[in-house]
Amino acid sequence: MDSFRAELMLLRRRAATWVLLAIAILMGIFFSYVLPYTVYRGGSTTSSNFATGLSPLLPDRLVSTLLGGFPFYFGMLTLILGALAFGSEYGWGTLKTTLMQRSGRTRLLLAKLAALGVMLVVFVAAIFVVGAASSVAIGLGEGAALHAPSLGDLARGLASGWLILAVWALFGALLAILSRGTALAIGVGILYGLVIEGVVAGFGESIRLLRDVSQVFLRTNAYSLIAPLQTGSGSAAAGGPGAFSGPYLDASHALLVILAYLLVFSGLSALLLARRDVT
Amino acid sequence: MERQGAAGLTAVLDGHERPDAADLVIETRGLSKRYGGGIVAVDDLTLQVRRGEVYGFLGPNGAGKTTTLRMLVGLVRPTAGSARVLGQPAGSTEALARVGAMIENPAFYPFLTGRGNLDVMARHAGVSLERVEVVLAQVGLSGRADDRFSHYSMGMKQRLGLAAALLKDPDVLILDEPTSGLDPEGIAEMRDLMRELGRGHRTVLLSSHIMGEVEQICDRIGIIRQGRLVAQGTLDELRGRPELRVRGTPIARARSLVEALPYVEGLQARDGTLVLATDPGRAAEINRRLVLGGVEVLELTPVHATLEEVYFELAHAGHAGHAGHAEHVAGAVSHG
Repeated sequence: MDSFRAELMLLRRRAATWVLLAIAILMGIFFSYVLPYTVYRGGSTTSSNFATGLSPLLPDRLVSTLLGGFPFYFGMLTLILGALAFGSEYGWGTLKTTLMQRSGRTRLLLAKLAALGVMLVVFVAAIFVVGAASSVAIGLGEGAALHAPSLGDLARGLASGWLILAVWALFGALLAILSRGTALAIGVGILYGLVIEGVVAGFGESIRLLRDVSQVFLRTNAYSLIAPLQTGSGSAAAGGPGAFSGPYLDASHALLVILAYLLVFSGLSALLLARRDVT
Repeated sequence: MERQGAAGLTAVLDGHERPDAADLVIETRGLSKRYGGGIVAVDDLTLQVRRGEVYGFLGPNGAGKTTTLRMLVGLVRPTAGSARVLGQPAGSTEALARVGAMIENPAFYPFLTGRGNLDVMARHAGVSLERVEVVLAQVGLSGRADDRFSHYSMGMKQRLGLAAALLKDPDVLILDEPTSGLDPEGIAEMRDLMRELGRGHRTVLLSSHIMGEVEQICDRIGIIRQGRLVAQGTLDELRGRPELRVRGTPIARARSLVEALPYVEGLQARDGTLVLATDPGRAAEINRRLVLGGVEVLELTPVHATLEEVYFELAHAGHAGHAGHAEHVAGAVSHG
């Protein structure tokens, strides 16, 4: 518990954590509300599939609208957070200092993961709070009726969002442990998340093999997990940044795959941390 | 076992007075670390550090000092042999609970203050946060505890590293070149601090390549070369017995006179002088014998090898100018 408190303190006191959260909030507001609202007000768009209309911007569609960003840019940002949380320990040499205080590399890993998990709760909550404020502001500005999303949808949305961020953060952490640093981990992570998964999934529509491969991707499963919570054409997944056109999998299957990824990433991280020398 | 080298110095591996196992705080047996590509960092190292002593671990850069220390705190796993600290396997929870260490450069979070860093380390160590103030005062850093670590000078960073090592009020303190990068004033301050910390019950293992530091602080010294311990003993044991240098004329007459003396155990001629392996307390008697024997005595001086001379003999064996004798002495002590 003491180690968990120490790790939470580190994440809290680190400027990078709050910079990433600020970027996440700004991106969330911009892509989920500012941009669509500008398009709605202007009445024109250069892309036929980019969602426009007022209804996705109102509070009752909060969960649907915001969740579209989690498998994509929010996920990339928490990948960076995970990579920084673990990779910096190598860069600064603090892993050595910490491990000399008390033995137990698995204990340290669990403390770090728990602290990261708590910080992701803050991320998800902050994104939803700012998203809610934005949707209320738009609704009031347009004189539309304001209806809160159902508590069930909200709870499922928060949980799904947290799970998606957690799997990306753990992926970043694993890459950082693997590369014993931050730079390569972040580079490889973003390259994988944006380019490899994006390109393979993009070609998946025309090449069956790539379509099958893409079914194990983080993004595919993340989008599949949130698909039941996304309604209408207003979801961010339907157009704009991070657009995803499938394949969609069964949500419960996607949940199992994401949980499996969490276990695998944690296990591999623990194994690497336990077996390798700290120099 | 004692052996006398050609230069007259005597180096000792103190196995002849093997301490009780309970008295050994750090003990390694055949400790080895080999990396891929055939790199041998530590090779069959057998080291003994006794309770309450300040042990100097001397060796040139790359000799394996830091790797050995890393193995003692569990950061690096040995590829062969074993290491025990306070009777427990090195790096185990039981051992680390009573060991404080600063290995290589002090590494802390740059965005935290000195106090913040110690708070984090105290939580990880499972010790009360009250200890933070105690160790800050102990290393003289209380006044700058709220400055960011990234704003610290090298000396302050070293002090913070020492403070972190002291958080658990450890029975064993392992310090790896703690004066590295410090200015002369900082070195003197750190040396005083280490001397203070070494008083009483605490055992200190100090790695260094600074002779003066080790000479002034340490009770016993181990010298490592290419991953192997080549000598271990007290400073006096490593320096060997003092000798007596005699310069007189005629030198041949002087030689024949001193050779006949029963208490002269060895004699060498070097650069026109005679170096006698004998008790320097006999200098007056030897002088009288020489004068009565018709020798004009020009010089009669006790000579004692410095630690630096011993170190260069042992640690740099194989280098030009040192090879033969060094191997001779090293071999002698290693199998003592």
